[in-house]
Amino acid sequence: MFAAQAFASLFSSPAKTSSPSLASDHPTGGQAAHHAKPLFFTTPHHLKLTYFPIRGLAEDIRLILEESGIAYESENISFHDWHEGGIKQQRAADNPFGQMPILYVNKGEFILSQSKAIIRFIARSTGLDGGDAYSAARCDQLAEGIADLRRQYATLAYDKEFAAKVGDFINKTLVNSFTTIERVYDQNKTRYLLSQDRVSYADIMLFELVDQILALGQDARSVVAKFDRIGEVYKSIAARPRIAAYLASSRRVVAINGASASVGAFKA
Amino acid sequence: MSGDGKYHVHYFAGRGLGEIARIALSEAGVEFEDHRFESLPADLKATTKFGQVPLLVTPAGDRINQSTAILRFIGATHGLSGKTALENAEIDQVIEGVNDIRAKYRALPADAANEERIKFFSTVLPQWLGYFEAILKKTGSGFYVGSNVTIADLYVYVSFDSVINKTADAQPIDAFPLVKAHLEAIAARPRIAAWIAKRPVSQW
Ligand SMILES: N[C@@H](CCC(=O)N[C@@H](CS)C(=O)NCC(=O)O)C(=O)O
Ligand SMILES: N[C@@H](CCC(=O)N[C@@H](CS)C(=O)NCC(=O)O)C(=O)O
Repeated sequence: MFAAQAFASLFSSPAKTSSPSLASDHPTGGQAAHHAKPLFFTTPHHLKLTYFPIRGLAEDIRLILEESGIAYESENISFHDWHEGGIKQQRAADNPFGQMPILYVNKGEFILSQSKAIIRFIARSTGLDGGDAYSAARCDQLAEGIADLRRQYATLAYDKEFAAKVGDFINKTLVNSFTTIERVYDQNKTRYLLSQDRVSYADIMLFELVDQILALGQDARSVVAKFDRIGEVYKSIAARPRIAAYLASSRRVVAINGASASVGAFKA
Repeated sequence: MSGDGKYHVHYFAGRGLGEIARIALSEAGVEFEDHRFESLPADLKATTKFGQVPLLVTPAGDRINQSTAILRFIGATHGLSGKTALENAEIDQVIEGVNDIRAKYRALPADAANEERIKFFSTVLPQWLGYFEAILKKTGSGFYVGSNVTIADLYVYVSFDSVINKTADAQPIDAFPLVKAHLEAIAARPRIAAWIAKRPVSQW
């Protein structure tokens, strides 16, 4: 359970915590928030990521952990156990807004929810945000643009009128968003957002979004194929050794969405 | 990129998604030019990342889109972020929680008699205000993270003030004294109060 005292001690006086490194390893200083080196995960921490057995809002996090070579435990909670089995209530103190994904660091010494907060936390701690305020702002900017489209995709996936709306989504929403995202990459001289070879967390989010969109079928595939830069990011991330190993492993979750979705639905 | 040494905020003539940049720059104590328009000029649109505003142009001429990316940038460069990586993660958690409630609010039909709308104000909003009340209770500092003002406080303030609190039906706030006191305290911070006093009046 979430211990308020442990939580408070992480932030106030490191001397009182059982693992001072958690709070003091990586002060971010007056200009705050950023640091030149990967800091947090240089010492081993036990990580557990808790979510439904779907990709949904957790797969970006899993991919970022995989790309960073950070070991983590996956706790996949069934929809039934969460909603009817009392798990939601049991975990209420672990997450302020009653939702998953939840990341547990060192068995609950630090607990974090909200997918994008978790993504950034790991990205900052591993340098996948570029490490300075400007690079991080560029990542955040692209990531929010990607998240805007992801939200529309998720709304469509669960829409009862999916069949009637998917065409417009592909030919309008997707085309418009990908045009703007492609332009971001076009303005770069490099393959990834921040560099030719070093991937950023925003690039990884784009990879997963493209993958989820391809699941919409042939029409979506044809649209995606028109965007060279996005396609290059997608293919090159899929081929990165750690990602490729993950995608081929049983750890890669198959279902994209919950059981009621019209695409990539979870099957018991 | 070359800038003119000043911050510029480009947004519609309203608070909307642009106000958080204006509030954060005000709290940071830096001057900025506040460019407002009734419709997004095509030439400006063409220079943005996703065809949208808000757009922040930094003194050095860097252009940043996406309201929360702008907010984090201002926080990181003006001491309004957390003091540790854990505090920054907590800040992000609050910001995303605010985004969830904003998204629910935005999805509501305008019709005051709509069932979903009524349910939002009678059950969903109080539930979420309860979440925020619990966070403030836990920190005990009057701030959402740590013991100083951060971008999380500013984001909660702007969102609740311009999205929720201003709605006629938003009385549930009275049942959440810590949330209410926090909103009042942020509005009363001298630089923010000064900005509120001088900003153009707008409907939204
Ligand atoms: N903004 C949140 C949204 C989290 C969310 O909606 N989680 C859903 C699963 S995708 C959930 O936990 N639903 C169960 C519930 O609300 O009880 C995030 O990005 O983490
Ligand atoms: N997620 C973006 C959304 C920005 C957005 O939707 N901006 C709207 C105004 S509130 C816009 O610029 N619309 C004009 C257009 O799309 O042409 C953010 O937070 O900045």
